[in-house]
Amino acid sequence: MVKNRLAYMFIAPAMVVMALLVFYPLFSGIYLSFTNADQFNTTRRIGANVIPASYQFIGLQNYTDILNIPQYEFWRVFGQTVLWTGFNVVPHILIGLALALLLNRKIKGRTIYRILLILPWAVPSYISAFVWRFIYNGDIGLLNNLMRDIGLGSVPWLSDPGWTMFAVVVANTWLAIPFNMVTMLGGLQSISPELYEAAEVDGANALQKFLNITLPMLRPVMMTATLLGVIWTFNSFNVIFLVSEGGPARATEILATWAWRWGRDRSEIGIGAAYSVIILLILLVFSAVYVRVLNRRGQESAL
Amino acid sequence: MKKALVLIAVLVLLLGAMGVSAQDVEITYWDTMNDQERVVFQEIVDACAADLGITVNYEYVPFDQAQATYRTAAQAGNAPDVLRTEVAWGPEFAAAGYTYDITDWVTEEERASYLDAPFNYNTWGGRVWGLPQVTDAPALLYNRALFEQAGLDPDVPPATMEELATAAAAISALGTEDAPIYGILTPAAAYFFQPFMWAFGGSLIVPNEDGTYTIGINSEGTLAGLNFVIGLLESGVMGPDYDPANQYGNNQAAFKEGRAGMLINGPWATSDILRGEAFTDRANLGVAPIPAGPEGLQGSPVGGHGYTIYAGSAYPQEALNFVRCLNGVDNQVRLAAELNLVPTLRAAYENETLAENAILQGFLAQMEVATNRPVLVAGGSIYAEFGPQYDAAILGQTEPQTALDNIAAAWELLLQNEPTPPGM
Repeated sequence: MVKNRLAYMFIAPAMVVMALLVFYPLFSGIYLSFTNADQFNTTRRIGANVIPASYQFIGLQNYTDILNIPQYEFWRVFGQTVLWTGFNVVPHILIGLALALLLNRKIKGRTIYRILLILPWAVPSYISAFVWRFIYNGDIGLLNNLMRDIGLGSVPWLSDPGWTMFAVVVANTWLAIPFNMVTMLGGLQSISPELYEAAEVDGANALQKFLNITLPMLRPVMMTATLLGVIWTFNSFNVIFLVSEGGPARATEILATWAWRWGRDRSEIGIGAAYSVIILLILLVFSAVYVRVLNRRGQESAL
Repeated sequence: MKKALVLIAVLVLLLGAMGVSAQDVEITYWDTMNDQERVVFQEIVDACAADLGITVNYEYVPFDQAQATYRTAAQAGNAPDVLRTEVAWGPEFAAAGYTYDITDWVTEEERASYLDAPFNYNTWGGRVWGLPQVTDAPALLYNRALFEQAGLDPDVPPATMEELATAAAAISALGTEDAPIYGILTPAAAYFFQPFMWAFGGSLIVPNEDGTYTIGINSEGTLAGLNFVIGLLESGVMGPDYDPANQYGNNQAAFKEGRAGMLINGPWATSDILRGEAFTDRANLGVAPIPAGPEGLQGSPVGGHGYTIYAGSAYPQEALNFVRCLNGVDNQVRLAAELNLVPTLRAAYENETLAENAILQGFLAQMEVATNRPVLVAGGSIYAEFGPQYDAAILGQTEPQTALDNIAAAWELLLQNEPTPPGM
């Protein structure tokens, strides 16, 4: 302790900030999920009046209500969240990998391509989301105007549950590709060229090199990118909230936006907090299982 | 010399005192009016700030986010001194203790200067929580030129739902496959479906004599209204295809461009509509009461906005004086003349310029047959379930009766949690 005093002093400010910004909200959120808190019984500071909180501890009731009362639509929204996550992460990884492979060659103007492909990342995501929403507008949108002009007729991009899920997945994939591409590119560049040289000496063709060198060497990076992708997509709020608003008729609502609807739109703070804790638990379980499966296979993940 | 000194001293003291009272009072006002309306309202706010010698921070919060944003700000103690409050939010904010009880400051005379219905929306539990700025109800807006082209008399708008369907069919026949014309635009949200609900005998939440409430949303009448709208959609005279996230804006665009014969919307939408190419001549915009149903029933939701004062305001009295200035007869007349907004002050109706505004007169005719909603805390939350279920029924994802039953089930929970006003 004495020996490491300086080290403790160095990390102390960071720990204080973490405690204030991460641990306090996290634990107060977990606590609220066991209460019947709403806007009529939480603490209100209104001028000189401070109305103290009067909500009560109700144990697991929020959780049992969410799971059992149809009005909370937990199972439907959970199913949509799983679909949303799956439909997103697979193309994120595959397209990211394909683009990284293309850009890892010596081609003319490689820097320009890289900059262009990073662009979606540089635009604030809510601006991209509004642009996508305009593109998908059923009556005056860019896409439907184009489709009508070439005689294909309009598509209910945001009016049909299936099409809307497709539409928000495409928008989110467009946003997620730069990160995955850069990650994969980094992985590709860390593979030693000597391996490829040795393979060429042995007479391996391009496909053999890809299957026997690139993929195995890239596995740790891909696994980490997948894990992060699942966590981020599961919780991703912007695209759903801004492009489809969870519609039509809640068909693209996911747990993260659904928790917001209860906690903020309806001010049912206890229910909203319980939904947040459920999201946390699902992701914790998923991550634990995922990392364990990876380790059992003898693969080292980058985590 | 001595006199002069005394005079100077008095002057300095007076100026100092004025300086303190004028400079120190700073009021924040959150407005939810739309872009066109705020151009006019900015001038009214500036004039009042100058008249009262106070500083006003005039801030804009989009209408669809204001309710939740205000809640959060009010709980944390930093809400604006004055909020433009939609009538359905008032009881909720009062019950949560966010808004200032101004009952004792509003004299009988001031109370009587307002129309009864709009004033009533600003009361809850027998107390007064705000002063009404405007009242409104969606009416049937129609493009007179398209009526003429379709062989309809623009001076005789449809009076029954049957006539509405016939007129819509005649107008949509003017369109071609490449350039469709919609007879009537699809109601953009549950709120704009309500006139159909009332016309066919349905209802929202109806107070009983014993103080309880009856939920009428899943009644036969509401179902008939919903089926009527779905029938119009299926017959192809209503459009464009329902796109819940964009429908309101798409409707405005289609109507402004002359691609639609009829639209159900409120006075607040007219300043935007009049900027459209189809309405460069404002006489082309017809406004009539929404037609009656088979039994002669008629309805449209009476809405509107009031000014409420934050319970934590440092200057509640000054805030109220500011509100009284904004709500002066001249200002209400100006909003009515320039923006077609319906006044809440009786005195405003004595002004002759109002009679010359045909659009406003159309809305006044609608107000005669509009429907007041019960003043409930739950009133601010009913559309959280009504909206998505209406969307699902219109899009054919849920059977209409099932959708209405789902709404009723959710509202029963809401009414169970209805807070009781203090002292009742």
